[in-house]
Amino acid sequence: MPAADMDNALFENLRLELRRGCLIVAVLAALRSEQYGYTLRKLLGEHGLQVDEGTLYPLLRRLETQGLLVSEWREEAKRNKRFYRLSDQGTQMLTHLLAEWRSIDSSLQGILSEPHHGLAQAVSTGR
Amino acid sequence: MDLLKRYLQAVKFFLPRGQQEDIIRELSENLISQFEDREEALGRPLTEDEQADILRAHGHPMLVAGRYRSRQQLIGPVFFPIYLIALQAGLAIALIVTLVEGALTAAIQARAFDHVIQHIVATLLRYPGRALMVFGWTTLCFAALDLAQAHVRFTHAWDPRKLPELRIDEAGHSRMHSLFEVIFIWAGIVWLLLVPRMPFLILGPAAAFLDAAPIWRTIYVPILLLAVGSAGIALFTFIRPHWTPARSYARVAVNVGGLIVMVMVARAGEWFLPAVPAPASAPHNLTGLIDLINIGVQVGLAVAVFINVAEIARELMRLKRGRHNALMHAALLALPMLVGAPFLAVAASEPAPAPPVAAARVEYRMLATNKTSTMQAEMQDAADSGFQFGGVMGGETSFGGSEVVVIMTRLATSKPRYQYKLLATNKTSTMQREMQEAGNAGFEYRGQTVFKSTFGGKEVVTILERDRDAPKPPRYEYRLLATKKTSTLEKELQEAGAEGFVFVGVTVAETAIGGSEIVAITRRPVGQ
Repeated sequence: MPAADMDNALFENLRLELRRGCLIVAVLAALRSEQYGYTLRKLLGEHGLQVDEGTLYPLLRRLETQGLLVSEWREEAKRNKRFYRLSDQGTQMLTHLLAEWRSIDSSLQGILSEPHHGLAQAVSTGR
Repeated sequence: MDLLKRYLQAVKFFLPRGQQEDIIRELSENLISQFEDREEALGRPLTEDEQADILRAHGHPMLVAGRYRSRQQLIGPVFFPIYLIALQAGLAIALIVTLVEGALTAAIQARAFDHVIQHIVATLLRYPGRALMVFGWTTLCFAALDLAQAHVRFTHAWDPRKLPELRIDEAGHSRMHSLFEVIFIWAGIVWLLLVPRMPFLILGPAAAFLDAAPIWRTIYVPILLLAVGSAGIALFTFIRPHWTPARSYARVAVNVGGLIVMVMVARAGEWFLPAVPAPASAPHNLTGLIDLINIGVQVGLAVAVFINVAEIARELMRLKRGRHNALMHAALLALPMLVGAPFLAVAASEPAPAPPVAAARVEYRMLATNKTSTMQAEMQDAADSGFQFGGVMGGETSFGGSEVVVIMTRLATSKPRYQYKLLATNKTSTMQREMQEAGNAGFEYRGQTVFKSTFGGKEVVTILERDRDAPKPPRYEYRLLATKKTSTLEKELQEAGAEGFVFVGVTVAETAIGGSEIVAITRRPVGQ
């Protein structure tokens, strides 16, 4: 495998790992208002977070099983759809996760602002 | 929409049964919404190709359905590394067990070298099945463990002070090296087990005209035990590749045992003897060749002792670096010495004195036949039951006509230790040569008579005996004196006596060539 392809594959793996946790926070945040599967996917996409249907729909069911979401079948535009929204437990969980997210972000910013880090320069110069 | 229904049907097939309807209903609504959105954007109904593109992007039915399953992997990341180690160890142990089984089967059942190969190959062919079984059971066990993982919690209730001691060998012992060590030692054990029945494995083509000295029989079991000990250490090293004091102690014990065995072997003085009877293929300079082989063994022993001592020193240095308790150190080192002491005592002592004859019951066996070969076989049978040659007489019996009668005796406590050889000829020179060959092989003159055989006329028959338990049987040079005149015999005996020959037996023989002769047998010790 050429070095460039290997780097791309590695980047893709790491990117997926990084997004996995973020995606849950994003879904919980988006479901503060009621959505059904397809509209939720569109909403996330509009905010720059493209998600496969094969990933999103099973995730919704898992979060519901864990008690973070609630769902109900309701008719809309003459068709029955399953609408999801955040449960009380999900709301609390989102608060904790956002606090954790901000803490991680703050730590990362602190590390990147260290003067001797070449990476900080690269990030600051956008390279 | 036909394409969508077919897609949903395919997804449904792979979904968990209890959730099929619910998931398909939701998936269907989401996909229809996506189709409608796309149609709205295009301002027309979707073509079949466009529907296929959307479904393709949604994912293969099997993968899509798979993501709805609560269990995504058989063994999760927590147990997977331990699973891999357990699987490797299990496969290696199965391999070792298979090799040992093959070796033992070959050693017990094989009758020839070809059979050894057949047994080993047949056993090795069982390995793939065993490996599959190990793989299956290990995977099943770990899958069950992973399933119960929710209830298993690794807590902080562990004590770092109970972790293994710091390893002294930074590099450790390569597992591959240990595996080869295990395989080679077990191969050595198989070889050892086969050697008694297949002497060519140690002597090669020379097995046809060489016999191993009795010392090898004495030290055979100790050598086998030491080899099994070494195999055990190698197996332990394979399982725990890093140095431990226990391994050094075990190595020292085995090496000390090896040293004791080597001392015993060295004390024997000679290690190979000419085969009896000497085959036609025996080289003319057999005695010289045996001397050469024995010198080779002596040099080999010296090298082996040196290596053994160096190994002991190396392990002691390791233990010293490890700063282990000196008292424990001394006690553990004394243990193999104590175990080995009886062997040393046996090696150093003379053969045990026979129990008092008067105190034990004496049994007799009388053998009578008119064929020399039958007599030799019958004598050997009796000897194998613990009997020893008592006396011989040739003559006319009331039952068998012209026969040779041998009387053998046995004490109740006697164990088999003697081998017998009968030499029969009507030529004095042939008899002298054959006696000399047997004498070189450790046989000793015990008696003689005249045998009137069916075909060979009158023959002189000499009975020779070899003590299998004697560490170093005495060697003699034989001289037979045959003459028709007593005065000549006296003169010849005087001459032989002047050269150190001692008279051991006499008979009157009516030989085919020389007519009636007196045959006197004399001998003198050599290399004593």
